[in-house]
Parts: sequence; C-alpha cells; structure tokens
Amino acid sequence: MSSENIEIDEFHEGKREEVAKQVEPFFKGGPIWKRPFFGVFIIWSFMTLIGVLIGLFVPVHVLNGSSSSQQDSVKLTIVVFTVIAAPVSAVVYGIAAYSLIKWNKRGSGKSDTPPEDGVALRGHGPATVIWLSISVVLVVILLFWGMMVLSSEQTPQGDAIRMQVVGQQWVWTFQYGSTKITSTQLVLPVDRQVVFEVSSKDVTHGFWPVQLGVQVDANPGFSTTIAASPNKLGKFDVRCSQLCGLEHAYMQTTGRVVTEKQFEHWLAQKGASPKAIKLFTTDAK
Amino acid sequence: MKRAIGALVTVLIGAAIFVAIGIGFHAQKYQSVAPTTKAVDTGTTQMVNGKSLKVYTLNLYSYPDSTGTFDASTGAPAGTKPVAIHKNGNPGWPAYGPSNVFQIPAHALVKVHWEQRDSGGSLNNSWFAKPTGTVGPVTLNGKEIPASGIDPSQVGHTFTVRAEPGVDPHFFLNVAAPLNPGNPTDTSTPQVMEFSFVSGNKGLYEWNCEFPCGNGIGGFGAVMSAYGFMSGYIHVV
Amino acid sequence: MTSTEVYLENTVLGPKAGGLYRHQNFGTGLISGIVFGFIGWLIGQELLQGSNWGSDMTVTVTCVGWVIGFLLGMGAFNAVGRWILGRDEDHEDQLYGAGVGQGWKRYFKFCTDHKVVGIQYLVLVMTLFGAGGAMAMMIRTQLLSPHMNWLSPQSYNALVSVHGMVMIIATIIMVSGPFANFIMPIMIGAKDMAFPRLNALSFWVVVAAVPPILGSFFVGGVDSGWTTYAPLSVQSFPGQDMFAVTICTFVISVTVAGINTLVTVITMRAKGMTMGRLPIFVWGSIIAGGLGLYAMPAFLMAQSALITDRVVGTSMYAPAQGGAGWLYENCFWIMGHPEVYVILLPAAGALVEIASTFARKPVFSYKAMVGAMMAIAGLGIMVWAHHMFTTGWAPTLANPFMLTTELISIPTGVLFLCLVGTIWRGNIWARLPMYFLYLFLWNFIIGGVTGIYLSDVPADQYFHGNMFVTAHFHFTLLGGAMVGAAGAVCYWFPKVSGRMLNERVGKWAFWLIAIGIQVTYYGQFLEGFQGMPRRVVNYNPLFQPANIMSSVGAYTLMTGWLILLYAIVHSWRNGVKAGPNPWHAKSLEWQTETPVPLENFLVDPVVTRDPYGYGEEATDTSQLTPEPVGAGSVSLGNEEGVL
Ligand SMILES: [Cu+2]
Ligand SMILES: [Cu+2]
Ligand SMILES: [Cu+2]
Repeated sequence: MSSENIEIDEFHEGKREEVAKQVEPFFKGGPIWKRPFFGVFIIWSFMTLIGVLIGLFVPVHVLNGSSSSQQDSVKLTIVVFTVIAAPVSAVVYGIAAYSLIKWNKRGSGKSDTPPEDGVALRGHGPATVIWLSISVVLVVILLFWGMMVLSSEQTPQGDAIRMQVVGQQWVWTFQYGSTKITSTQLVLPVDRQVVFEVSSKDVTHGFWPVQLGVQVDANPGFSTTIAASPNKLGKFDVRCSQLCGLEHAYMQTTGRVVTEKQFEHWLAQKGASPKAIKLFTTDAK
Repeated sequence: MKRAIGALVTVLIGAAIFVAIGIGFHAQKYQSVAPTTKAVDTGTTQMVNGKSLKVYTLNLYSYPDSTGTFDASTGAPAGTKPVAIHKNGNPGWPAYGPSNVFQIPAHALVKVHWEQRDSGGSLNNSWFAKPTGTVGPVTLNGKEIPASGIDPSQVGHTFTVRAEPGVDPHFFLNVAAPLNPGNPTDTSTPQVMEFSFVSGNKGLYEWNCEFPCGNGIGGFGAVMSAYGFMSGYIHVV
Repeated sequence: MTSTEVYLENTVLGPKAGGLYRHQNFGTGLISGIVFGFIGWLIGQELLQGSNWGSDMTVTVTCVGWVIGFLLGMGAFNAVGRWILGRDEDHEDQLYGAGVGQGWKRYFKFCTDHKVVGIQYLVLVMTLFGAGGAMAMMIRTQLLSPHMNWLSPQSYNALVSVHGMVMIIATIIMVSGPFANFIMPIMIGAKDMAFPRLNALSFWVVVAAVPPILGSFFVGGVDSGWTTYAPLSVQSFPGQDMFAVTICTFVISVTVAGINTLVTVITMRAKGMTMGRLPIFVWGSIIAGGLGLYAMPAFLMAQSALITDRVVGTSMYAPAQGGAGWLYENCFWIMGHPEVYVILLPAAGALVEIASTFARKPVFSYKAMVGAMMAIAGLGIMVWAHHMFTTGWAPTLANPFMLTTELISIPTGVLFLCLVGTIWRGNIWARLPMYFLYLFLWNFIIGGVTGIYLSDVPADQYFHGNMFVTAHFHFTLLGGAMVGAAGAVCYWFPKVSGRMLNERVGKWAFWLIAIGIQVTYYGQFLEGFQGMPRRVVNYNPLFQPANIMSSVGAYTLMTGWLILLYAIVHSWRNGVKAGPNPWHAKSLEWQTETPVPLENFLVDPVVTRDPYGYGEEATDTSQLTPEPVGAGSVSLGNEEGVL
C-alpha cells in the first residue's frame, strides 16, 4: 500500500501528506516480521491451508458415493471450487483478524470512551483495482469450469437408452420404453448413457437419482429430460427433491447399476419378450 | 449472578413456551380412532423356497365416511359395539380402519384381510391396479384375480406401502381393491380382498392410498393430504 | 426532564383532538377485525357451502374481512375518510395522531411518529422470531431421529412452510422496520418520514397479516413449503388461502414502506445533506426499498393468482387446463432472489456504520461501497432462474444465469473489501456491535462460498433441493443478515431506549449465537453433502449424526437468542442511562438528544460533511453544525452548509 495513493475526501486534500505519514507502510519498513504484510500473510497462509485441506478431504469423504461420470464431476467441482475459494476468503479473514490482533487495545471492550481516531484512510485505488481484477478472473474461471462440465455432461450419445420416469404422489415408477416394463426400482446398464424422460401425474416432483449426480423436476402434462452416464456397478438412491405434499419424505426408492447382460436378464425376468428387449437395448444404437 | 439467573429464567420460560407449543402439535398427530393395530400371530408356514415363516394376520377396512361408526369386533359398520371410525371424522371423507397405525413383525408372512366398502373410479396411474410385492394368490371375494390386476377404472382404494428411507432391501407393496358396486351404504356387503406379503427389515414404514379419493389437482387434495385418513405408519418390529 | 417529555407535557391538546381516533387502539382493531372476519365468514358460507374445515371461499373471505376490519378498527383510514368527507385533519388532530400526550398507550395506536413505529416494528420482529424460532425447534426435534414419530407428516410440512415464511417476513422487516423507521429519518435530519400515515399503515398492515398465516395450522396447514410451488399449492388445504392472504397483505406493507423510504430520502434531507453525504445505512435502506418495489409485486401477482385458482377456479397453474407451474416458479423467484438483498442490504449498511464507529475510521471507499450495493441490486434482479436450474425450464438459459449469478460475487467482494478496509488500521473499540460485525464477516464468507457451488449448474444438480441449500441460505440470512440486525440492535439500542445494553449478558448471548450457528449449519452442510433432501419428516439413518449435530446447535442458538432477548428487555428497564452519543459517533442521529424529541431536532441541523470524519481535521466536530435559531421553527442554515 504505497503512501501516494491514499484518497481523502475533497475537504481534506491538503492533509494528504499528513495522513500518509501516519500510515505505516504495508510492505516496507522495519524488520520483515514487524510489517503488517507479514502478519496478514501468516494468518492468510494458515486460513488458506485449512480451507484447502477441508476442500481436499471433507467433500470426498462425506459426499455420497458416485455411480456416474456426472457425480464424479460434481465431486471434482466441489474440490476445485473450495481450493480456489480458500485463498480468497483467507484474505478477508487475514485482514480482519490481523486488525483485531494488532489494533485492538486490551480492555477496549470494557471502556466507555472510544480509542483515539484511526487513520483517515478513505480508500485505496490500487488495492481496489487489484481486488476487482482478481474477482473478475475468478468469476471467469468459475464460469468456464461450469460451462465445460455442463456441456460435456449433457451431450447426447448415439447409443443412449431412453426411458420414462413417472412421478406421482408419492411413488416413482420407471418405464422401460418399448418393453412396456414398469418398475418401482430403477435398474440401469453400466457404461451406457441413459436419457430420462421425466413427467408427473399430479404435482411437481424432483427426480433425483442421488449418486448419478443429476436431477430434473417432474411436471404434470409434459416431460423434461436429463441424461446420466452410469459408470460404476452398484446401488444408488432415488429421492424426490421437490416438496410434494404429505408423504414427500417417503417418495424414494433404490436403484442398481448392473452389467448389460444382467440388465437384459432383469427385463426378461420382469416379463419382457426377448424381441422387445432387443429392440429396446439396440434401438438406440 | 443476578443477571445469570435472569438469563436462565428467560431461557427456561422460552423453552417452556416452545415445549407447550410442541405438545400441542404432537397431540395433533393422533387423529386415528384406535391405538396401533397389531397383526395377530396365527402360526407358521413353509415357503416355496423351504424357509419357514411366522404367519400374522391383519384386518383392514375402508369406509366411505369417516364420521360413521363401526363394530370393533367384526369391522362391520355400526354394529353392537360402535366405535367412531375416525376421531376427527369429516363428512364425505373416506377413512381406513380399524386404525391408521399398524404394527407387524419383521420377516414374517402377513396375511391381509381387507373389506372395502367405499365407492371409487379411475386411478391416476393405472399401473396401481396391478398387485405388486405380494406373495401367493390375491383373491377378490374368494376368487383369484389375474396377474394384470383389477380394472383400473373401477378402483375403490389402494393399500400402498413403502419402507422409510434407508431400509434395505427395497420394499414396495401395492394392492388395489375395486369399488363397491351400486350405491354403497354402510350396510352393503364389502368387497373382500385377501393377499399376503413378506415383511421387510425393521423400521418405520409408511402406507397410503394411491386412488385419488380427495379433491383438487390429481384428486390428492383434502382427505388424501390429511394425515390419518388415507395414510399412516406401519411399525415393523 | 427530557425534552420529549417537555414537548409532550407542555402541549395541551383540545379534548376533541384526534376525533374518532381518540377511541381507537389495538383493542378496537382486534374487535373490529373479528367482527369483520365473522361477517366475511357468513358471506363465505352463503356463497359456497363449506365442510367443517371451511371451504377456500369461506376462509379467504374471512381473512380478508379480518384484515380490513382490523385496519378500520385501528383508525388506519380515518384521515382518508375525513378528507373525503371534507373535514380534513387539523394540526391538533395530527399532533394527536403522532402520539402527543398518550404515554405508553401510543405504542398500541395507529401512531404516525416514526420513532413509535420503529419501536413497534422492533417488538413485532422479535415476536415473529419467537414464533418462527419455536417452529424451528420443533422441526429440529423431529429430526433428532430418522424414525421419529413425534409430529405427523402433515404437521411437519405445515411447520416447515410456516416457519419459512414467518422468518422471511421477519427478516425482511428486521432492519428496515425498526431502524429505517426510527433511525434513518434522524440520520438524514428529517422531522419524520415523508408519509407518516403510510408509515403507520405499513406497520399495522404487517400486524394484520400475521394472524392468518399462524391460523393456517387450524385449517389443515400449508403443505407446500415457504415457496408454495404450484400446482401443489393449488391442491393444498384452506391453510394455503390464509398463507396467500398473508402474503398479499404483507406485500402491501413492503411496497408502502419502500415508497415511503425512497421519498423520505429524496425529499426530506436536511440542508447540506447531499446524496454523497448520506450514511451508508441510508443507502442500504433506499436501495433495498427500491428493490422491494421491483420484487414484491411479482409475489403479489403469484399469490393472488393462486387465490383465484383455489377459490374461483381459474387455472393459472393447473396444467390440464392450460396453466403452468413454471409461471408460478418464475414469479416466485423474480421476487425470491431480490428479496434476499432486500433483507441483506439494510443489514450490511448498518454493519458499515458499526465498522466505521468502532474502528474509529472513515468508511473505506464510500463510492465503491454505494456502487457495489447498487450493482448487487441491479444484478440481483437478473439471477432468479438459478433457483430453477434443475426444473428443466429453458436449458439454454443455464449459462447466462450462471454468469449473472457468479457476477454478483464481484460487488459482494467489493462490499467485503470496504468492510475490512474500514477496519484496517482502525483503533478497534471491541464493544458488542463490533463482535457482531466480526461474526458477520466470518459467516458471510462461508455463506458466499457455498453459494458459488450452488451457482454452478452441474454442482447444483446434486445440491438442489438438498439440505446443503438450507444450510447455505441460513448462513446468509441468519449468519449474515440476522447477525447484522443483532449488531444494529446493539448499536442503536442507546438511542432507541435511552439506556446502555448490558454487554456482559450480551456477550454470553453472542458466543452462544456464534457457536450455535456454526454447529447447526455445519451439521446441515454435512447432511447436504451426504444427500439428504430438504423438508423430509423421516430420513435415511445415514444422516442421523449430522442431524443430531444440527439439532444440538439449534438448541444452543435458541438459548443464545433468548439470552439476547433478556439482555434487551432487562437493559430497556434497568440499564445504565445513556447520553445522547455514547459511541462518540458522528452521524446525525447521535447529535440529537436522547430520548429523541417529537420532531427529532430542537434545532434544525445543517450538514457540512459526511458522517465519517474520524481522524480528520476537526475531529471533535460531528456531521452536524447546528445554527442557533430563534422563535421560528425553520432554520435557514449558513451558506457553507449548502456546499
Ligand atoms: Cu415428490
Ligand atoms: Cu383412498
Ligand atoms: Cu437466488
């Protein structure tokens, strides 16, 4: 914070030099550990470290398991965003905490008279400009990250299977297109993109196959679509993410990601004819 | 010290008010007539796969009007020992009896005897006309119904059960009973559905009716959205 | 004897001053409201047969009857009535209307004095927080166990919905009610608000609006959440009608108050109080007021169309008859996002005043701060669809809305810069308001960073409708805005009550609140990460540890707020008497005496500089340079002051 750039309001233009003298330089003067910059830097590093550690370890550990490439990228996004946000937030914490440590006289909280006035620092051009530019850069990074992930996730694939999801108070039913099979459990083949055509029989529901990392509302009268790419065998949960009345909490079920073979077997078990299965699974290709 | 006591008293008064309001809301919950209806132990049976299971039976009634009374011993309306169908009955609102809270044991074969006396119509989703999650035959007035279920445009109510979130494995039961033909009154003979299912793991299960017997959008307003008429809990213990 | 008392006691009004209004107060309002409500109920029963829970028609007409009857009984429309009849109020009537000579009773009347309205608002806000808080405690108790069977799903949904809306109403008025009414006119050197009767109206309309939403519990409750998404809300119980009447009534209050604030600041500033010298709190209030004027009508439309759908069978939101749920969702969020800033900006403004006063420094970058607030408001109206990323509505707009949402972080960052810049190198006076400022900084960063995840469309695919969202907006609204409001209460308490707040008790409350917020909402962040949906009465046992954590935090939080309430009530009665300017601050409200006289200043103020001249030349002078005046009531001020 160089002394030339302290702004004072128009009445005090003449006092600029005087104010500048009172302000300790941010970077310069004295041994390094006595400069404000150093104190802020220490707190900043500490808070950044904590933030980065939280970002790297907390979400991955507490976040639900992932069964799709979409959920993989959700996890990655959270890690990346936290790691980016940590140093930025730490600047605020650093400045605020340093001020509290350095410029709060002991017992000031119990005093009925205020401490003497601080420095009449009414702004600082370069600091504001740097702050603004960093925010702009960050916003651009965040935006591009989001746009890239979004477009890669929802690109339709040639061999995608299309199925219908019907929400109603308070049950999900899943229909496997031309096979005419309906189930309350969602079974999906692995490594195939699946496009859900989601609709509702009554009010708005939120179709949320949790570990697939996608969701879309179910509306009465028309269907909305969302694509997911299951990439890991195993169980996942399906929940309703939109309050839909009395038994909203119970509008949930489970799903399984299985191999292509198991998937066909399951459809056959449910009563689909081999011809219909063939049609349904290869139709899209 | 004096101030600490003052602060403590404030907190206690606040907590007392909160508890009082809370008790009021808690009391609102028990809108059913009877306390929890427990399934009755009726021996054991040998399953197809060779396992032997305990058998329990559960009686279920659905009435056209929750303001009426029924006989607690037979389930017939207004018998010799009349009990209110619903504590907060509402004219024109159907209700289930003898209670809306049931208790069944885990991993047992539960035989349900269901007397359906209400009128009805078309389902929102005809898929619910088909029994799901049952074991063995499903009979209507003693006759087995086809696997495709009953006529989806002639449904009275459904009995649809789900486990609370997180209960494994997935549990889903759904049976529809047809409407009572003609002009149903409390004295007409009921449609009797009989079916069995194997209960799942322990937990708090929820049941509700999927026939739109309420009003408003989707027919799920009013009685369908009021807890205790067309919905309730099943404690699986 | 203080000057207010002098004024009030020395002014003897005629025995007929006020006319009919002499006999009207909260009691007559209640009686008249109940009578009109009953008449409404009769009309409703005649028009449409109701079941024993009451039909939509009956319930709606009853509630509207209550609102109109209550306001009539309060005397809200007396002046208009007299004007229509050609017997306009004279000066004495107006003095009576401002509460002259009525002692404590004026707090229960349709009083036009902005200071009375401010205190009325303060009490109402605390009452609403009490009601909403009680509901929050019940929700958290139900969620202690995944199998908890303590509330029925219906009661639970009703509690969730009404808790949400009551808290939103309370937070919208929590700063702009008490402080934009009590303090803001004094800050700009005005004698009162521009429209004193509208000011009183804005308060009593909220009072009229509250009973219906609380009464909704008795007619089935509201089961569609505070967002009341259609078509679920069309299907819901008659409680939904009461909810909608409350909203429509409340919107009138916010609109009236917003206009009043704007006009007051534009037209009533003291001599020399240029726009560039306005305290930041005033800027926060007017920007929020203007934003409210933009946002709230959308809510009024959304909810009145909901009423017509429910009561007279229009089909705005019924898809089978050509309506659309998305119409409601759009209208709702066009209100819903700006509303967040309607809540936040006045609180942020108050925190800036606190920062400057307790760091003993001028605010950092006044113009940047005002610009940032305006930018937040401007961008705030262009981001609503980020609440609809997962609805399937307009997928092509996902990227633009992601852009506008993320852009908001730039002016928000500037606000942070200005706050920490103001603290930087200040000589910190660690009194209670400063504690709340630091808590705000801590919380709001967390609220902001978690907001960035939600602004990212792919991440929102996981977090939407998830407890993570709940934790995020509680961190911003409670951890940010409400903490700011608590700071504002502590800061202006000596001016409002004439006594010092007991900071020892206040600091106990502070620490409980600070810790309670962290525990409660970290718990909910965890629930969100694990994938727990919002508004569920029972949940997967996987989420139980996080829920217990959150509930324990919530009880701590409740204890903290109750202790703060105790500190306020206790100090109001027994606190150490405060001088006019205990903080040695420079803005105008601290330059007039305490208690504040009826028209705020015994001598009209003339302003020569902005209120942040700490550490500058003439440190000992304040923003005010009063010109002695003679017998006249208007001061001309000196030429310098006009500059
Ligand atoms: Cu749902
Ligand atoms: Cu039914
Ligand atoms: Cu928003």
